[in-house]
Amino acid sequence: MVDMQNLRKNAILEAKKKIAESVKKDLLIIQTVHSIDELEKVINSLIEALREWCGYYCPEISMKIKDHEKFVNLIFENDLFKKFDIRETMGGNLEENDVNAILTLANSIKELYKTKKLEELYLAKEMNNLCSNLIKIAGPEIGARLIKAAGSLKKLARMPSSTIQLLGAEKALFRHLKIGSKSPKYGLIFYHTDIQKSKNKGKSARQLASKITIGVRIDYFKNEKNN
Amino acid sequence: MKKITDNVFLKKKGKKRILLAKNLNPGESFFDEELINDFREWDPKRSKLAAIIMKGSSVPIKKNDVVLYLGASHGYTPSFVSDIVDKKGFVFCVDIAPRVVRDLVFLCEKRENMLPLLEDANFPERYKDKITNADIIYQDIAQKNQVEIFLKNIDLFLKNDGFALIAIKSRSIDVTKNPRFIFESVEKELRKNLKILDKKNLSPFQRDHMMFICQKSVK
Repeated sequence: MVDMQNLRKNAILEAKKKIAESVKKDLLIIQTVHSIDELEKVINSLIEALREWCGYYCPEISMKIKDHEKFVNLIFENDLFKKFDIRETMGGNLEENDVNAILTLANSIKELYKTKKLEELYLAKEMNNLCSNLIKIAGPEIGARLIKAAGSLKKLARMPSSTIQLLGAEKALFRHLKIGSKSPKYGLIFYHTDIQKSKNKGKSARQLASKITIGVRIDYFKNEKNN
Repeated sequence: MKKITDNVFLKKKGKKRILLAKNLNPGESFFDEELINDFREWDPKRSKLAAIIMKGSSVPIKKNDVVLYLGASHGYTPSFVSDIVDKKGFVFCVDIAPRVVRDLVFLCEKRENMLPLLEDANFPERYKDKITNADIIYQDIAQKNQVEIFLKNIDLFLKNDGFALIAIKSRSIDVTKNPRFIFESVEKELRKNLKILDKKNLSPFQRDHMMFICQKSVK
């Protein structure tokens, strides 16, 4: 009679060990990129709320400073109205604690900007350590998002360049495969400066993707060899 | 309440019908499912096995059965299989993805009739010393060679006259072909090796999915 509880205990121990071993740098990079993207969304959301709220204190500032990060930093300035040469403001008469409530939110947003910057620095450093060739060609931001789209560095290294070219364009790709609409020419690599500057974006995307493929494979198999 | 199989009941809740399973851990919810007395609610939109039950099929899983579950994922459906087979039954849960087996480990720590295996079902020789033979094999794996995986595991682990259930996702086999064409060729391949007892399209609970209930025929 097989001892099921013994099988079970061993299985649980082994699964735990394997799961711990499966935690690799590229997984952490994927989480970092995800966090940066989420922070971007959250920050934009909160800035909108802040601008609306500020509109009752000093709408002229919100109009004058279009850059979100500058805006969040500048509304802390003393003599705001004097500094920006605002004589007749449409803002209401706010008490000190009303203004402080707005500034508390602004403070939180400032902290979020700081967090995002730290994460971007950490991302660039880790990407450089893990896949220096990939970042030479694609840069840390696009490189990390390619790894995220593939699921892992290993999966990315095994992809043909045509797949890498279209990572991020899945909706258009499957529409093309199923219905026969035009095939997409680029996925998230569209945002690479070389593609943005190019006069023939499709051709550039194909060429860039093939170089990325080479870079990723060198990085992945170099790591494999050392491990 | 109408009994569907061991520990599974169909209940009328107003105009709806809901599926309930007798909770092996009474009072404990694992996936935010609703608890109704000593029962857990089983959602056919989340579980293909629940879907085929709601479509009227008779499911051959019983108390005390040993089940090999390929493609256990986070453990939603396996937890209900665990309810069915009760304390003396057992569910071996296999999945290839560490992220998902992590959740499975937490579940298996609370359920004494379940164990987790972080393994590739395409290589059953790798886990043959970690499991026993099974009365039932249940497979829900979205891979191109899902039928091949199914037959390999049936060959190695399923007892004679045992039952095997497989959920087929036509998009995993070929996203461009018509699902009906894919289901037909899958059925042909299954028929070569197994007796097909029942087959159902899981619509409206799942899109382009079909489940086959088969039996190992000893020649």
